Amino acid sequence: MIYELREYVAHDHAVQQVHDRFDIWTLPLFERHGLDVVGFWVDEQEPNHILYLLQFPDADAQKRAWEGFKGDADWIRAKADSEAAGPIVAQMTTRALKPVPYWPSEPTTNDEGRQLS
Amino acid sequence: MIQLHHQFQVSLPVGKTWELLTDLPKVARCLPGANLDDVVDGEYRGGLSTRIGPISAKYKGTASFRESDEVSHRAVIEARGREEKGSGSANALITAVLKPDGDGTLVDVSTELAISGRAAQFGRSLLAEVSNTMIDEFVRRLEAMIRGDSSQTSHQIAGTPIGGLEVSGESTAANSESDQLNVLTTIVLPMLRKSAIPIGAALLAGAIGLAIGCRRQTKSRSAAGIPLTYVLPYPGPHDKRPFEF
Repeated sequence: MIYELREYVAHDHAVQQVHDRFDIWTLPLFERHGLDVVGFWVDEQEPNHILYLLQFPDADAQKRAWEGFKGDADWIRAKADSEAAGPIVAQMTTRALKPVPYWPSEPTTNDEGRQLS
Repeated sequence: MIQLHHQFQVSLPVGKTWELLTDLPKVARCLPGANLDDVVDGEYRGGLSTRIGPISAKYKGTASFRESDEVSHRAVIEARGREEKGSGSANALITAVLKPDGDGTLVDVSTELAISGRAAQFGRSLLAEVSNTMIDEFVRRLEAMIRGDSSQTSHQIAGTPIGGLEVSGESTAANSESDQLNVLTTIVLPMLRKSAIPIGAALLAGAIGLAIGCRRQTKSRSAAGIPLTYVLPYPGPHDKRPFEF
């Protein structure tokens, strides 16, 4: 499993619009294209910083999922509509995460196959 | 708004090229005339110097990542600069996309450039030539940096640790002064050289015309001489203002 951490910095005037776009448009499209979200957060000190973590079985699946999402006509329209009055995202950063040797890269399970962490 | 498009190859795998090109303090040293003074909250502050003959222009400004997508290897950088002396400005939105190309990387760069002030008078063609020359030189220095040939960039990075931001503004500015893009020698003269063939042809045609005119004059003393006007493609505006960038 590989992980991708994305951080969006919303323009101050458009924080709710960015949340709404994720909620109404992006998440259903993520599901459509196999972009598996682990979680969404905002920075406690800077709530216009929105972060989410994605997981993929491998790099090929990640590439396919993003290509499908970015080429989806619904996404292209949703993005254009949400930015019709100007950009709503000031900055976007994506990080590809690599596992470290002192932490299991896959979720730990017990003998019955139940997830422990 | 001027749209510019460039492509270049880097002899490193795409991941390594991404790492290198998004290290702005490091790659700024490869851009002729550029210096980076400081970075505050993700905003890079620095300057760019250019020169045409004895006349130089310096821009001070900021650059910041609007997008940095390590997975798709796509970066969008917004740069804003103002002339230190004068009221000109130059703003650019630069989108770079990296793709694997054999063992190396193909870098595709699209730039939306909005420029005002004296530099705007040069128009799209000359500004495109300036950007082409800067990119060519940037790639040459980048490759030298990759090869570890510090002599190519050492005059720019003296006293500066690789990848570090502890850049002395004074020394960097001084280095930048000697390193600034000389538009006269690097662009205008090559353009004139490129024009040498058509100019030579025009001169030859003019000489032939003159000779024919003289022969005709010989035959008919009343015929007027043929006026010759040679219009060079560059440099410069047609007004009397100095040729500055």
